[in-house]
Amino acid sequence: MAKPTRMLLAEDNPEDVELVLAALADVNLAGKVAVVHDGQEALDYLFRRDRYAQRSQENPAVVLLDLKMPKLDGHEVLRAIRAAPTLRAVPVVMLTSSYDEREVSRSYELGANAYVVKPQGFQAFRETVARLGVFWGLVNEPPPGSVANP
Amino acid sequence: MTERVNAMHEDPPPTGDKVHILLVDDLEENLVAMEAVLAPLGQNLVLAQSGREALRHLMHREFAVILLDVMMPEMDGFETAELIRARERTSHTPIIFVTAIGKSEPEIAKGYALGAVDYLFKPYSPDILKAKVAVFVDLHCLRAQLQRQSSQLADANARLEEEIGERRKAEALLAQINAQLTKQARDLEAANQDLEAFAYSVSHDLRAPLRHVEGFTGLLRSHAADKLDETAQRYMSIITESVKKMGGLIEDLLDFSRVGRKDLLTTTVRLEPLVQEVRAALEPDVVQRKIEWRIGPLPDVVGDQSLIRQVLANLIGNAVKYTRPRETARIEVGTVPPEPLRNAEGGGRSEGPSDAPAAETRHPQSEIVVFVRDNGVGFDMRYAHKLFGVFQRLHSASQFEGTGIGLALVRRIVQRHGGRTWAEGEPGKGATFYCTLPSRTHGTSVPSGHESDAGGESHGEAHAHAAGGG
Repeated sequence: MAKPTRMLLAEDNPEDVELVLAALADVNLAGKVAVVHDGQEALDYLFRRDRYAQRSQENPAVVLLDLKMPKLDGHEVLRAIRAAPTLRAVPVVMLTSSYDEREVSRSYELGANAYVVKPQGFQAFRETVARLGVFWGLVNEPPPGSVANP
Repeated sequence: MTERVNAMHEDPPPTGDKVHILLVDDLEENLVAMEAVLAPLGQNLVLAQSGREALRHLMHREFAVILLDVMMPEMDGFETAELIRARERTSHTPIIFVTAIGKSEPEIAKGYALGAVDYLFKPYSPDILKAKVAVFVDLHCLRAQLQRQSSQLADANARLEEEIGERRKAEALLAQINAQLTKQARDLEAANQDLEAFAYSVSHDLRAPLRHVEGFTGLLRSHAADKLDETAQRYMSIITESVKKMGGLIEDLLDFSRVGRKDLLTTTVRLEPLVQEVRAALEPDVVQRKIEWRIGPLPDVVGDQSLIRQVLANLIGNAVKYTRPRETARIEVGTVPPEPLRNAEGGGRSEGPSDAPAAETRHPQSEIVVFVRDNGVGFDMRYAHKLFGVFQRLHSASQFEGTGIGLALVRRIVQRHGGRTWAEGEPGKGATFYCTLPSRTHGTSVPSGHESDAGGESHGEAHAHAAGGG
């Protein structure tokens, strides 16, 4: 199974990062997540620039993208991903704090694969994130073209 | 002409309006004779025995006509006439020369050249003298009248112009006030939108820290469960419960501000199936309950279906909730017929006082009044004004669950449709909630932007609550 199991989490809020990682730990996926803290860093990671220049060539199996982030927000990052030939097939899941019709539409128009509102209750949050990790990290087959064998 | 003379003769102008006639002759007996002839005209006769004296009189008053003797010592009639004509004020005063001699044509021509309007030859006929003078008196009166009229006309014109000016000023003022009002309305709308955006982003931003409190409390619980004693466990539960409650409030606020931000999707909405749908959705919660439903008939209305469903869900949900203590709950959904409406105690209503303000129950044909009535715990009319406020409750959470957003949401949605909301109730007997919605036959246009409230209910109140409660 040559599946890439790496996930990229772009989330500026450290508490949220910790909660997501705790939830992914429930399904033994915490170790498979790379974390970046704003939109610019997300693109640096994906395009293997600056301090990510040395990382392996494979694309993440999924990008979990917070909508509200400093520098570049989720929509801007998403647009850049869809515009890049090497990245455009990478699954992207938008994560956000609250439901907003306009933002949902915009996300899908820009090519998001899913839009998930972070549940308010911790139990629900934990389950939702764990399920997301299992589905996108294990169940779903990522686009073959996006994976470069080392 | 004779007629006119007669008229003048018989009906002399009032004393104050007498015209002046100047008689000039060096011989007193001539003056007396003329005076006698002209006296019946009823005018003011002024006598002068020389040209000089005549000129003096002419300085003081205006004469309708001058009878001027040609043959006079010192200054004769022609010389006098020349001086009269030379003066601006008297240049047009009619002069009749009275003469016995000088009937030669050159003499007469000279007289006319000097501005005589007529000649009278001695011995004259008294009737002709009188008639001629009467003509000039008449002419003078007419001219005076004309002058009066034209000055009146000028006055009237001036007044009219003044009035027009004032009206223009008033119109300009009105336009200015209108512009101000429009601007204020725009500002108010912008302020409302700002407030809504604010409420939305505040409640949105509150969610993240709240999620963290809840998340880390959960992590703490699973991490340290065996190390926590009973008291610590209880504290943890309280934290979790409070966070949940706050989360609920934030959700409600978000719902509430979403209603303000949402664009209305206006269609024809069939109320009756919608009510049935709402009722069916509540069914699982009321399987243990005995509820007598009386629904409709209900007309179609115009509005945003999903929002109107929320209105009905809240009103009917409340009716179900607040009839819980009743063995048999009775819930009625219906419409109030248009004018003329029920009078004070009529209509066979069994519950609720009917002292709702009359103005609120009157409504035009363009709207439908929908009501939801129950025989539940009711409420005290003294608190009726609080019912529709954000997070306002008349019951404690332990009596009846809820945050107090439902009716605020109802009012908000109804207002966005240009309608009104009100309620009637009596403690222990039940409550009736009313709202107006645009009717399909008349109200095909619904305000599509933010509220344009036709009902005169206070938005400010709702917004103030939204801001205060956030």
